[in-house]
Amino acid sequence: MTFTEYDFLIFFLVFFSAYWLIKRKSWQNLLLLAASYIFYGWVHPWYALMLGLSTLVDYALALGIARNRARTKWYMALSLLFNLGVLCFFKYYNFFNEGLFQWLTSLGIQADVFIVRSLLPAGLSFYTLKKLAYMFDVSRGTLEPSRDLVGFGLFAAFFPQINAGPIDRAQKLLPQIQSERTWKADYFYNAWPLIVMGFFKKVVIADTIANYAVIPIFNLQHPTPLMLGSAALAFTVQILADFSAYTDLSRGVALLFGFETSENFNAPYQSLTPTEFWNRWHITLSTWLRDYIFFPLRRTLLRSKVQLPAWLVDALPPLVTMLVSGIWHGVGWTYVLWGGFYGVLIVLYQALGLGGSWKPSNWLTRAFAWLVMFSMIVVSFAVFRASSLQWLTGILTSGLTVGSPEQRMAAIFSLSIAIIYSLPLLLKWQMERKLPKDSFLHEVYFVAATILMLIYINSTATDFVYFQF
Amino acid sequence: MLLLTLLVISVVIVQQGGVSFPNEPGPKFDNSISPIIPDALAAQKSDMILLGDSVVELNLNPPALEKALGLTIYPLHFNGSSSTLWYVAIKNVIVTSPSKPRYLVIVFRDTFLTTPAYRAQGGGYQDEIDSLATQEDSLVIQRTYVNQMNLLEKASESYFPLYVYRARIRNQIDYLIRYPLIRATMNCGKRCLDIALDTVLNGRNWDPILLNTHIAGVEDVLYTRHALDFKASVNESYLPDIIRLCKENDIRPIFVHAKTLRLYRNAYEPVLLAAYLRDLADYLRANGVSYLDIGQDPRIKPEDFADSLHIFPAAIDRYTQVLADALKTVLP
Repeated sequence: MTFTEYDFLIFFLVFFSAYWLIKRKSWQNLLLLAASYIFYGWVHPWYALMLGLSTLVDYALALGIARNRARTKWYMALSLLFNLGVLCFFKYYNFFNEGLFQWLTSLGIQADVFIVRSLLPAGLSFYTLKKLAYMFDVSRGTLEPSRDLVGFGLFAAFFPQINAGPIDRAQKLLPQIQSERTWKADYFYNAWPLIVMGFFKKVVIADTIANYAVIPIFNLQHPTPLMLGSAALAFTVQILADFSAYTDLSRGVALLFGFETSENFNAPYQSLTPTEFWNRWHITLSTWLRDYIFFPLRRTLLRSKVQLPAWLVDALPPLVTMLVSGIWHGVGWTYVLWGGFYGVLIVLYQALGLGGSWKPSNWLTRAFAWLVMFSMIVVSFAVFRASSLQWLTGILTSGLTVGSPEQRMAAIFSLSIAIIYSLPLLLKWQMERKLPKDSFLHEVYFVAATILMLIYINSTATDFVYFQF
Repeated sequence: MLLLTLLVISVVIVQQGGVSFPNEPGPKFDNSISPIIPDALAAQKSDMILLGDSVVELNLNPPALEKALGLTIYPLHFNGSSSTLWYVAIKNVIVTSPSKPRYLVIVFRDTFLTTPAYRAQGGGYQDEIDSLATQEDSLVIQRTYVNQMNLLEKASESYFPLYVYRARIRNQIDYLIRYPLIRATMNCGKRCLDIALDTVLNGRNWDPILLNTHIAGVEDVLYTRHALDFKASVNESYLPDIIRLCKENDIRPIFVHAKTLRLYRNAYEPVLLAAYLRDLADYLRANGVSYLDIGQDPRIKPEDFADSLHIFPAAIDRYTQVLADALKTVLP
């Protein structure tokens, strides 16, 4: 089920009403847990079964750690093996499966007898990271394991977050799950702008850009470099609108149930350096990677008995972290290159003295730094969205630049769609920066966004981009 | 403020649109029928009409079929069409034609005949249906549109003017966003841009694998469990009406299940589809209607397909021959 479906509206109204009619916290949690499993297993009930099993495994292993600290490493290894095993199986099985299919066929073996396609359960990547963070924190002793199975189950399955995050930590969600919740009008007043903006960004901006300016060009066999550039810019706008729309809707819905969840985006395209970009883009994933891969790896390298060169200690953690980020997003060389590209970029910027805390000295430097970084972001999303590296290199080595007048027109059309549909986002950003919070103009913006959303909405909205990861 | 704005917009729309509310859900067809097809049918006086979508246009060679069958054939293909458009074409054009054909061959894909909502929603499809439908086609409004709406949509269609007019408003916004910049920068108007975009971004220029994946995604609605349940969906479809109209007008309908290469996205699809086609064949047999299935014919090979639906030009004559051979088994 997704937030933009009619089924969700019915689901939401039923559970929202029942939830606030029940006053007792334990019953509210049980109801929300049931709602989360219904939401998650709506299309494929076996998704919910798998989630339930994996939740039980981590619940038991975390309690095992608390009972016998001496065996922490064993329990942690089991959890890693289980969680990453399941994740890798579903995420990478089809990729290797196709190779295996071709190999068996080339040997004259009827391969389809052995091969079954596996369907990646939406949200698996997200709840796996959520549970792994919990296990890491329990194993480090920074978090007491939850003895409340319903509470822990709800933390893992919380329906507003299950499909595409935010990847909230147990430290943020479990205390809220364990506290009493009574209805406050503020929940509605705070959730409403998020829900309006979520629908507006998804239905009006992201889906329109995708259908007019992204899909038709990225699906072409031989677009020109100019067309690729326009479509990459369009995709840069689309993916921010799409993913931040999901986050807004997720946060809005969570708020209506009395939960405060994390922001995932903080104007990422304003960034001047790659480090700043990753501090503003998909924040809950970035902090997860930082806390559980970057810092531990850097600590290990610093404490290494073998004296390592300083440049290696500085370069390896960002490179590995960004490569893991790329592989987490999907299987294929485009994702590896995308992650590696950011790793190299971070290392280069650090080598040039433009690390995380760097600030430009004047507006000209700032403008130049922004232009360079934004161009890098667009280039990286061209790689991210490309169907294969061969496709990408084919375009860049085709010798064409702008192509025929028709191809030029298609490129300008795609560019104009990207620019025009990004204007509402730019306007919102400017309004947030320059206008006081109680300005009347914010209300005008939300009214206009609501009306546009009603005009653009239809019953066949596409899935959110990040569901596939 | 939002409610006030919506109220003002509603009043303006009602006053300017001249429509009273509550409104009957569903589109309002005009009464005119495009004369192009009726005129062509009357002029050609063909023995057989070959009705279908782009599969008829791109996979078949009508002159070769005419030669093979010894009959005159009028190919009536609507690209991107499905059963709703075929039904209105039969009801308002074919059976009302002064020169009715003896045979009506309907070339369909998988569950096309029992999924009336497919390719009927949205501007282009609806306009094409409107070009052949009249205000008396309440069955179309009910089955294709109203039956597909949920309660909220029905209520919005009845009582919410902005919702009713949203397609029209969206088209206007779309127009404003699409054309002025290109006109200003490249001196290229609406027609010029539409032709350029069609030339460059057409599916023919897509990567075949991505195109097939895209088609499979768009056509998922034809392969839901409900769509693949023939018995549950036949009475919501136009199939009984198409058979009745043909019988009442002495036209012999022949249904042909076309060969395509569906990229199955769910494990249940091939199993349920086989059951669906068995039920369809039984239903047509019980109604005394001919059914031909060329979906498994080995003469059309996977490598003949340019995408999952259409074949390469080199295979058109073979595809036509397969259809001709199948038709010969049921024609006198």
